[in-house]
Amino acid sequence: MSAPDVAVDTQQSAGPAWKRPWLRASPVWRQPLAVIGLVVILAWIAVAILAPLIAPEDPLAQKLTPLQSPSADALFGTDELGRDVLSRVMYGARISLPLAMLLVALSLVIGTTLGVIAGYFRGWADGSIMRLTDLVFAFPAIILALVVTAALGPGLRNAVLALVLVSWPAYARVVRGLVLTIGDSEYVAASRLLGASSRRAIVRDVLPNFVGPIIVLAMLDVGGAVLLLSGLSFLGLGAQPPAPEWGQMVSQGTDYFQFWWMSTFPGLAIFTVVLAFNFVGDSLRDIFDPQAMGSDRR
Amino acid sequence: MALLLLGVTVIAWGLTSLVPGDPAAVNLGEERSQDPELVQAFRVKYGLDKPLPVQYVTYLGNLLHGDFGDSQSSGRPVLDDLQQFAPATAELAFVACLLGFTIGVSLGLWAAVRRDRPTDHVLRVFSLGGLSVPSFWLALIVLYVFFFKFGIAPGGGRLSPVTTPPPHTTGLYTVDALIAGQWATFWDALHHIMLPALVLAGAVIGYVTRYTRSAVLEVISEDYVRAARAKGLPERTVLTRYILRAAAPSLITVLGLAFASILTGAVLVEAIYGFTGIGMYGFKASVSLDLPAIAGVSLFIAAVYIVINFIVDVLYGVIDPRIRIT
Amino acid sequence: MTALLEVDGLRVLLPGRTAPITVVDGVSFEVGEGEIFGVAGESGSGKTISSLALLRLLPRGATVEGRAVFAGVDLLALDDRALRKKRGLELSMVFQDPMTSLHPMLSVERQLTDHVRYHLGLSRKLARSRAIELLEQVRIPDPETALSAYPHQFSGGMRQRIAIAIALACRPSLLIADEPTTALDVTVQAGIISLLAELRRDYGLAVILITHDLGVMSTIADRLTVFYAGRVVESGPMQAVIQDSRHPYTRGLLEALPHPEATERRPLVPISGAAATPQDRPPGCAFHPRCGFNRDSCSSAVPVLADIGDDRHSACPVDPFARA
Repeated sequence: MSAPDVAVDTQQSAGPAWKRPWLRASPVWRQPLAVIGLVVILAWIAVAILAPLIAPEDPLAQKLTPLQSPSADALFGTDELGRDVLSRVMYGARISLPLAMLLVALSLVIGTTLGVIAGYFRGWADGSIMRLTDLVFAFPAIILALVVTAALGPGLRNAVLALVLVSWPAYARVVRGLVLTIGDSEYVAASRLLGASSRRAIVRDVLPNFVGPIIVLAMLDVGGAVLLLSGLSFLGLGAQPPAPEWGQMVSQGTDYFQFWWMSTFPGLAIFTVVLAFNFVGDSLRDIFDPQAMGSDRR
Repeated sequence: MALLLLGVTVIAWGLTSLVPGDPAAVNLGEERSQDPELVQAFRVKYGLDKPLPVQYVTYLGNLLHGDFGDSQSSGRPVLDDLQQFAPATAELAFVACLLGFTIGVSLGLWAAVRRDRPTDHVLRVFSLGGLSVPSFWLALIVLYVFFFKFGIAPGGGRLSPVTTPPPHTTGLYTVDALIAGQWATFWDALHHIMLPALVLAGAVIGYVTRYTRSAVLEVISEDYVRAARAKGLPERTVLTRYILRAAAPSLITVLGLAFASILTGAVLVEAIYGFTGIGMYGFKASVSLDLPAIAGVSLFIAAVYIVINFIVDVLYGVIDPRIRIT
Repeated sequence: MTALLEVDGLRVLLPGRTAPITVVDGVSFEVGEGEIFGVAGESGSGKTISSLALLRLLPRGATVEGRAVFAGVDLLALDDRALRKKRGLELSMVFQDPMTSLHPMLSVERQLTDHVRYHLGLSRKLARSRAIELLEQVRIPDPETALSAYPHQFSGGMRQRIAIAIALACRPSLLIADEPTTALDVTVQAGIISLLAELRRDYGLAVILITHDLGVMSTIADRLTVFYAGRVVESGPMQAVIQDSRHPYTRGLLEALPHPEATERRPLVPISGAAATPQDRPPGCAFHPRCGFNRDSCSSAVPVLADIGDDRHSACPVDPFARA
């Protein structure tokens, strides 16, 4: 090619994505979305941690006048039992955030382990694990989660379990793909030829390439986890009343339709949290693999 | 694929068999389940008294005859239930898919062409936003705003209470009404389907836009696009005939994903709009531990997924001559 | 011979990481009607970018200065729409890699006729018969079947012929061929080159033949210009430039060429050092760090492309190979 290497908008990345050291790509600071997302996430984490201190009321206390629209006393209004919606939304963060992260962490661990096994050992292990992921992928997430939760009984713990079951295959697929690509590469073969001591080099060079896509997937997944969890709770299969879980609160609010604040604020909470994680995940994806289309299993 | 379906039935069956609860108790209700005779009759009727493996094999056998068993809550054959409720969801899914896909692809194309410029950034935020909205919440908000406040949308259901459904040809009210020439019914059905379809489409537009943008960007810097420009063709032609067509395989993938995602979202949205479709049916079945119904719905949806994948594969061949089997 | 294309002081800047890079720095040359004009030089010397600039096919953010008068009209001064109308119709381009420059999902007929129908308003039938004629001209066997086939069904050489047919469909007077043979097997290259010669002979087609392969160039080019680091260093009639080069870079290029008589007595002599890139162009004459005849004056002033008689130009003020 006789075109010089300049920053034209048709520039292709040099070499396969995973070979590029992940640090060298476009700087994080050029992504205002990531920054906004991080700020919002941290804010919500702060709310979750500090809720007992900063919430005006006890989320379960039925002290106030019921069905009051937002006012100076109750910034988000009150629900039908006289509970302060603002406090409930704050406490809701203590449910949704940790559970969503737990959910993702579990899926990640299970999925990565199985993915590594599948990619490394190939053969029978690979085949059966892939069949399993196919099986899970054959269902829409909600349906499978529904079935499992229904089978195990409603409740947050079971909802989380169901969702882990639904989410691990995405990680398994990605990790397996990475293991296969990297294991096969001439790069690794050449490193092996150069001697066993280069195993350290492989670990240092190769592993970072794993971390990137997985972190991206995990970030985006937390958002999805919050959506699924609240969705299940909305249907009555996750959190049970009187727990101030956001999805549950939205469901509660459907019966009191005209008292719009009951459903609106919890829903807004879900929206902002998920949006924040999506901002961060999307920006990360730009950094680690600008040409990825992702294999979203939403 | 058959293996997959088989596995699906195993899962559906197996999970519900692990139920700590007792289907009989759940379905008969508190009072009647105190009566041992009724419970026993229930069990016998649904074969619950036989050992599990036998139950499963019987089930499979029946499946092959097209018999999905009877719903434990409605008492009717599950197959009938499916036939009744599937068209509603199909109709909803098609309209939502059409909306979501056309809008999403146009936006994605626009974002790709205006890459890195303000339009692109705005669209990116917009599509990420679309991805982040809980569909059940959006459904409520939209209902509140358009029905409650502005009164321009109906409150739910597939038709107004006064309207009778059109004669059944496909089960899709809009299509049937058109076929029967019942214009008023057609508009009514369309009117009712708009809100849920919009909500479902909204969820999907987000990532259709993103995927389209990626797909188009991958193609836009290809040599053949430059060669097309070198021929002096107007940019509009280059966009449609050269760029979009090259991105088509990826777009078809997205279409498949979008349809699948809409089916998922339907579960939540149907409940809110009182839209009597498979989503609502599946949910009720799960909650009441109606084993045959659960298995039936799961099988049905899995089958739909598989069919969609198959159609997508076929479409690939149509679009891209390189992978045709000639 | 009247000049069909007169390029004067062409300068192209592309966005760099920190500042714009002058990829083509004041290039001038002339192409006559029905002439095969060779543009030689290494990768990165600006040959392709120059021709892309003429057709306004550069990536977004590029700046182009200078004049390029084609059939009496300055291409660089035209507005986008007017220039686009000329593309494919009066001047067209064939690209390096036939594997990627044809659309994989459109039939050969489609790609051969859509611009013809657009520019000339031909009906489908007429366009189709024109397409068959074109395929015959470029010697594609069984043109009728070829029309409904797709690019992946052809070999590299055939695809390049199809690309040439596409470029000639509207009977332009100038064809820019950017490394048309580089991606092809050696055995196939000769066929493409002789095809170009034939087209010139039969239709008076002028060709700008861009290639780094001087051997290919020497078989058909009438006149030749040599690029280095975005500037012209030498130009003139082909025989003269090749057999009696006046610029040290041209000499170096020729001596570095693989040739059948390479023996110990006449070994291949590569030019020492690496080619200068537009990003770090040495001051003064871009070639001076690698030049055996380097003098102090060579690094201070950018040499001008001087007329050295016999329609030849050279940008070496030292002129070490001049006959006394």
